[in-house]
Amino acid sequence: MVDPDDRQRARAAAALADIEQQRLFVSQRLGGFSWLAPVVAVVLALAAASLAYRNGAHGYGERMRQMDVRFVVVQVIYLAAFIPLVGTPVRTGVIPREGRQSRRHVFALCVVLLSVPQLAILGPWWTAIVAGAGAGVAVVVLSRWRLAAILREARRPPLVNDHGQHPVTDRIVSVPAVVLIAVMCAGVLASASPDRVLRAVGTLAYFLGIGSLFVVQQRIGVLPLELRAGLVRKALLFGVALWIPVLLTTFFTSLRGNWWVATCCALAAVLTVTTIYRWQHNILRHQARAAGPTPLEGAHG
Amino acid sequence: MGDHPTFDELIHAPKRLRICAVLAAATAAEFATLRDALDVSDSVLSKHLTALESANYITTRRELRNSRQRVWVSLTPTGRHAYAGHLQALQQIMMLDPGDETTRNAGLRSDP
Repeated sequence: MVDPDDRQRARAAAALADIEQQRLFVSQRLGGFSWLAPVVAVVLALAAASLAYRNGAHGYGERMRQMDVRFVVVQVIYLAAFIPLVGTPVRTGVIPREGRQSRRHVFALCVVLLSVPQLAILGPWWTAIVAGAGAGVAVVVLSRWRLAAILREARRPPLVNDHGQHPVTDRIVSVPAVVLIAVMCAGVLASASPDRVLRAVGTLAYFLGIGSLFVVQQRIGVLPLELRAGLVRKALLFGVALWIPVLLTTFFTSLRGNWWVATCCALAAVLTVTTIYRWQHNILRHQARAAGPTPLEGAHG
Repeated sequence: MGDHPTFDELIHAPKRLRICAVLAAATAAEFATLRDALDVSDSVLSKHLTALESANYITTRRELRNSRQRVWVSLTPTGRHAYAGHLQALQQIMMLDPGDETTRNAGLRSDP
């Protein structure tokens, strides 16, 4: 005759195994589309190499003004290839915890903020002012989004104390949006200057402004793991992969038309894509298991 | 997890337990994805979702995308708490010594 306690344990074990199976299902869904990474890496590598090489003697701004069709097409491909990295084209049918929101922010940043310097380069002086105003608005909107996301994160347990208060939210210190707007507008205006030094300083200020948008959330002091990993990923996106082929050959004319430089840019792009995908995969897996310890692990100690 | 182990009869039904397991691992899951995960018909899934929704364990959100209506299902904080408690209760059952008196008094059994 079967012991009732054994029957209970058998039922519990079956239930836990069932839960583990469902977690695996979610994990697999989120980690799917593994073929996308190499495809994106190859496309980005080719586009990066082409951009670095074809920037050529005339430089980025001049080629854009002349609307060199091949150059523009390659640039569009290069930018579009980033969409699978930061957007949400993969229809998994499952929204990872807090993940989609974060990717949406980064995608918006890519589109809005990176299009601003291009506007400044392409048109007459007043487009630089329009671009600067656009950057200001983008900064205000994105600052609010980020702050809202941080507050939402901070209000989730276990950051809420026994009295239902949110002590963490009191510790959030935000860089005043007005300061950021001023820095970024000045940066955009300066980056359109004919003077090379002023242009370099302006571009640097502009990118520092973008960077400070991400630093704000670190001041919370209790950054969740996923957000911290996302921060590094974003820093890589802006600092390493995006615009390296273009910036290199724009500011260092001696590097223009050099196949070695082009190859290095391509390699950098491949490495970046691979790293970002690896991190994304890890983050998604982490999120899929974030509901608590693995049931069977917990059950067997 | 910080939740008390509480055996929840509503969650323990196999299909509903699976639904909660999928939802606990994500922010939200689409109706069709849940149906595929559970390998059940639309009507069966709807029935279980209604039961969970009436207990305020889940919420549903309708979204129109590409002219098709998609239903996203997510656990409420109450549901997440109840699921975590149930999971701990199951783990506790697994860890308890068969001869231990607390096994009999833990109140973790689903059947009388």
